[in-house]
Amino acid sequence: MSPGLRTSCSCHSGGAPAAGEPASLRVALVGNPNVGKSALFNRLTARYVTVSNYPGTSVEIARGAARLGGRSAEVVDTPGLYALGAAAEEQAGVRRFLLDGGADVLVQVADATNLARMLGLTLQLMELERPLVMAVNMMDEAERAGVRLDLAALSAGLGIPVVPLVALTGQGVPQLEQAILEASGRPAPPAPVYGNGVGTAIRAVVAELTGSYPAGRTALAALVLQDEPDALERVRAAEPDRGARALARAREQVATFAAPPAYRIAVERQIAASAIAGSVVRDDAATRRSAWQRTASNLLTRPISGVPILFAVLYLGLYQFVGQFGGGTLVDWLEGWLFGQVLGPLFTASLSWIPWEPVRSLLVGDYGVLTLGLRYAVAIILPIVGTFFLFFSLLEDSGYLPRLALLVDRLFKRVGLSGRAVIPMVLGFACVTMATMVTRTLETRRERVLATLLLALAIPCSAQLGVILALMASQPLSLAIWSLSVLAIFLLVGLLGARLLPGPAPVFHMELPPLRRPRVGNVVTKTVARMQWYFLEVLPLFLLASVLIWAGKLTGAFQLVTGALEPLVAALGLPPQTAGIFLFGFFRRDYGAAGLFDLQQQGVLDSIQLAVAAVTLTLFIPCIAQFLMMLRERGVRTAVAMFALITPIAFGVGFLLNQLLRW
Amino acid sequence: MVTCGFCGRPFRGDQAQPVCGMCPLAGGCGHLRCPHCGYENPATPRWLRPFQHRDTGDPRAEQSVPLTDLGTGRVARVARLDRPADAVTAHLVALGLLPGTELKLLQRFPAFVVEIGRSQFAIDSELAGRVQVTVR
Repeated sequence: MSPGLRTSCSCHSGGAPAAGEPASLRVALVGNPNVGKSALFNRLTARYVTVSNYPGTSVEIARGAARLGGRSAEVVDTPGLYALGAAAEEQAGVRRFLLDGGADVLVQVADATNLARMLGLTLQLMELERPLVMAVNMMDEAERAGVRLDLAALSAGLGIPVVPLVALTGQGVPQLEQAILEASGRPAPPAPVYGNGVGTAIRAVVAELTGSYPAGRTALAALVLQDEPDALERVRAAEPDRGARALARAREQVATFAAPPAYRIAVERQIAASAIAGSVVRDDAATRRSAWQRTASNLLTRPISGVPILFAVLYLGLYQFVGQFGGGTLVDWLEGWLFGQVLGPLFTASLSWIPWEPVRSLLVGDYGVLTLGLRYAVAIILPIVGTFFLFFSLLEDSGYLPRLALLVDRLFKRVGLSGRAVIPMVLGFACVTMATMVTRTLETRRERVLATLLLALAIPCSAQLGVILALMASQPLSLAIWSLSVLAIFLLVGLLGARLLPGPAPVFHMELPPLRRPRVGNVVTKTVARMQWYFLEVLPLFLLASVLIWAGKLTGAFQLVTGALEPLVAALGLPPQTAGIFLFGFFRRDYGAAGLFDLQQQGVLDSIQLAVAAVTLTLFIPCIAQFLMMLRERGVRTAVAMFALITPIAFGVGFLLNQLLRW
Repeated sequence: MVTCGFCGRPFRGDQAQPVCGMCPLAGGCGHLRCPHCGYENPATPRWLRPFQHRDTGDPRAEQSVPLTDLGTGRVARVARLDRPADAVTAHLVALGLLPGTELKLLQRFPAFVVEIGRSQFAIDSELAGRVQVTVR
């Protein structure tokens, strides 16, 4: 992963300082997951961003411009963080950002209903010895729940400004902006001192850090004691003796600990945090979560009720809403009316004056950028993906997803994954490319590789799913064969992969936020943000695919590859036209599915061939966008190895299936 | 913590005499040999253990058991976390599963759900087995 933070592509504009103004103030929002960082980010910057920090969804770090009390500022939203020393890739990015002094002012966003847990991070951020402001969010929920906080005492005790907020409504945000400005001008608060030998150990290491560092030496010392690689790297670079003395001192101190340093330090921090919380939080409520929340939560997390509910949700959400409404009604309207009657003729007519045949065919030919690429992106993919995102955002905002993860954890363990992987898997039904990116939130490399493999092999993306379902709706037998074959391969490869792939078994741990009625504003914002992302990242690939197909046809490369594929598809008992379809399928999985659709309409395929072709296409190598994503996320070697594994599996299964069905 | 059925003295499970090497059942018999007198006490089967820990009112009964042995609805205090060198263990501490913290076990299947203060967490049986708690 790159050392810097990834930035969301659409968030740069405005807010740059005018000539003569001081440079933009760099503000970073940090905090545990589920505290409302993204909602606050929206308030400060008035930009659309995915408003959720559910692990796996706020992966892209957003930068936005803001004006705080007249001064221009750049605000950075980071993924949820429990501990600076965490090993996961996402947290590594934040850690490096913070250690390298990437922000002038840190704002910790905390959940008012859970302050004791938030304070552990506060102490870690104070170790960085940079200006820090604490934004205590969700004050409305705390009040509803009967939690009373003495924030003045907290501020006095910690030595940092503490501002109460309700990010969703905007209450408290002006006061926060003011506090940020003031904090930027004042010196940083002193680092906390821990007890039971940990404080002594940290001080001893700090004494040996004589170089200059952008961020607090206390934080570095604590990480050095834990053997954290990023901290070690920075100490080696900044110390004249390459950190030899500091490291020796650290080793010495660690030898006096009865338990591993990471554990001891975490325990001491929590003890300090709990002590502070004890004097600041007055929790009056007898019942912590309301009765309906508990009942509903129980229904969802116990298999006996949870599994039927899941099927109901899948049926109503995926099949009815996304499949029938999105893939059916909306697609028909968009393709039939918008493109069929309005845009299609418009494009063809307005560009018919172009004398050069190749250019005309590029734009409005059979596989033209406008007639095919744009049409597929807008009329076919977008409604399906849009309805899916809406459905997913609803589930996410209600707090259902962690409970789903809990239900499926044991099953997922069989295929080498933990319940957390349910998110990329479910996202895979929308877009496998995006889901592959989200696998980076899985904790172990083994899980990431397995999840990517299963996604690439056996999960059909929404576009493909929509067309395949439509294709075989009239042939329930073919549909049954298709779904059973794909499921069987998923389980087989998963089971084998779990056995053969080396690495630690995944562990499952997940916070269960309280169930809540999804908030319309939140859901809409998230959906729009995701659709925006999808359009900006994926539409160009559609157009590129059209161009590549056009170039391929023009140069004859296409015909060459198709010719090479024909004997292969013949071995599967399929007509020669399917060779072209598989090739298209690589550029866009849905091109392939749609090509099958056309063939079936023409009556060229019988129901056995249909099933075989559909299965092979689903298992087939991922689309080009996804392959690029695999290269980026898993590295060249792994991605190529997967490619080399998937292709024979896809064709092999097709071959076997054909033999089996005709027997 | 086991009380020997023969001599009445208490001993911990890991203190049981290891003589399984020569025996054809080699550890599969489910018996714990008392280190004091040698008597073989039957060990409670795993699935039965959550039902076993009734409050005896005995202040000496401060045995720690893994969370996996606790019954649902029970309140317990975290005594220590096994495998403290593991990165995930430190993460559990950051979540609040800290020695001294009080928790309530809400659910055991398909995953363990614990409530600490206002927060609820789900952990699998592997992790739950590492959390040693004392039952009041």
